Amino acid sequence: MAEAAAVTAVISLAGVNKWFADFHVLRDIDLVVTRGERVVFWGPSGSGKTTLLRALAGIEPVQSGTMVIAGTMKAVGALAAPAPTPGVGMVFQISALFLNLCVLDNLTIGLRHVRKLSKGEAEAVALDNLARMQMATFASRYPGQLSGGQQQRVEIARALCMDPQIMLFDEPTAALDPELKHEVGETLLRLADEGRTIVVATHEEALVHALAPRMVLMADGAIVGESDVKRHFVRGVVQ
Amino acid sequence: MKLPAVRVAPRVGAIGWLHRHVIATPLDAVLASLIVALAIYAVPSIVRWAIIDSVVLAVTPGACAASAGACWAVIHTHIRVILFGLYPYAEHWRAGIALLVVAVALAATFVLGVRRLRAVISLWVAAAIAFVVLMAGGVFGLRPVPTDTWGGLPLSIFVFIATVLIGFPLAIALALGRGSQLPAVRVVCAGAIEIVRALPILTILFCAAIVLPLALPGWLDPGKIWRVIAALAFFYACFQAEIIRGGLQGVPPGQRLAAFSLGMTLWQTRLAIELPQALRYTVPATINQIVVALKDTSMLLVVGLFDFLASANTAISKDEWARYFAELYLFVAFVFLVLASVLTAMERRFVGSAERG
Repeated sequence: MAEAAAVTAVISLAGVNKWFADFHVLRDIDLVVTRGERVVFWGPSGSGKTTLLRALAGIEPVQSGTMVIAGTMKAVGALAAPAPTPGVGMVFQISALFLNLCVLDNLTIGLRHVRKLSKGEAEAVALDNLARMQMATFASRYPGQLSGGQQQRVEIARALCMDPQIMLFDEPTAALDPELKHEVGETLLRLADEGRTIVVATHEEALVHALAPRMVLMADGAIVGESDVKRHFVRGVVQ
Repeated sequence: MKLPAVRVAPRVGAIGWLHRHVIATPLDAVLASLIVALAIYAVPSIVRWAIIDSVVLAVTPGACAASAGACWAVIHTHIRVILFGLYPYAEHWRAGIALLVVAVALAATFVLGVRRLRAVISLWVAAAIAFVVLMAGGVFGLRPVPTDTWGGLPLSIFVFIATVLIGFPLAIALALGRGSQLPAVRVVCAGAIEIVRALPILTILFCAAIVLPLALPGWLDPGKIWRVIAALAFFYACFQAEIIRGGLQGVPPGQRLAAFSLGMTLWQTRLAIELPQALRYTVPATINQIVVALKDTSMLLVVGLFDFLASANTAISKDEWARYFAELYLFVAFVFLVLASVLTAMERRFVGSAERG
């Protein structure tokens, strides 16, 4: 079983701990996610969902444990600086589009600085990904001129530009109208159908129903169990 | 909480305007009366002095002496010395064109706006080079004019522009350095900023003009004007750096995390994401500091450079027009007011285009 997991695992964490000063925000996290899985971190606010997602993205250092993500062994230590994980894209709870750049430049900046593409190549990739999110006509707008739903689609397109095998979403429905929430579920399913691993932190029941994921239940910074939509909601188990 | 009752009946026309804007409350009425009384007392005598009794077209001070009004004639009879100071008389046309170059660059900046920052910066570098070539000469058959004979408005404007062009990048470096993760860099930048901010500008100018040449070997000394510019630029940079640091702190933390999540490095994030946003947030405070730098150029007199104010002073100090200094100072003040207003107009233009983003 361990061997089979090792072949297809894209995320494997063992004994991961993190403190913010005295606050023990992640407690002995063990987690294995296989390629193409849809995973939801489910738990109340403050249960550590966001911090765990950020640790996976490599933008939040952890203090102990081992982390292998998308084939990269992450450095662990009290003083480890943020080190982004290649192959992982993240969409933030609060829109984090670059406010000084138009939509197109928001997408090309990573392609040019990180993937070192030329201006022309970067713009081609960016327009392609904007079109996939039905945002190509907004290429020259600035983030402040977009609605919340549009901003989120651009953010997803921006993450997709780096062609990640793992996509992380932090509360993707938190800032959206009910109609748009439905749309986000469909978008996430589409990304999963392309073979990407999807990890979502949420406490939105409708989204979980739409994704029908493996549910990782979190409380007080620890993983307290696993479930799925049927067991969790039909039986009414509340962790 | 009880809302105040609406007492003023809706009125139209001049009476209504008066009720709404001038005597809306008893305090307003008292203040308005005081202002009107002051105006009745002062305005007629000012108008009589500045306009009715003034002498504009005279060419000798005799005509002014016969009148009780302002002697505006002092300006046009001395205009070339007021504007160009000690600059060689035969070469004044070069100084004039140099001023024109700056005016054109200002106008072009206004048209281009902040979005085309790179074009604006290259424009100003080109304008500065053209300005120096015109003023200093020595190339294209222009007679060389040493910097110690530069004077008047071109000198003030040159020192001002050089101060900002050199000081601004230095300010960015100091602001980023103060936020550095390397303790040595952080301490050096913070120390420089704190020390320079604590010193009076006169001390710094004196050191640059008089003390520094004693310490520098002759071949390393770039000349007084450049030492003074370096001092003013460093002084400006230390204040501007704190403005930029404030702007950097105002950039939402999510911007940095998003850049990291794409794999951008700390320096890429700072230069391409955080700094442009910080500079835009701080346009009003930056223009404020730039106006201060413009006015600080009149300190040049104390180190023996004849800036605009000093040139105007010198133009009449030793002749029979000397008693008409008030008119002259009003003219100098007016020119500074126009320059500061241009900078303020630019702020409005830049903040406008920044808010659209």
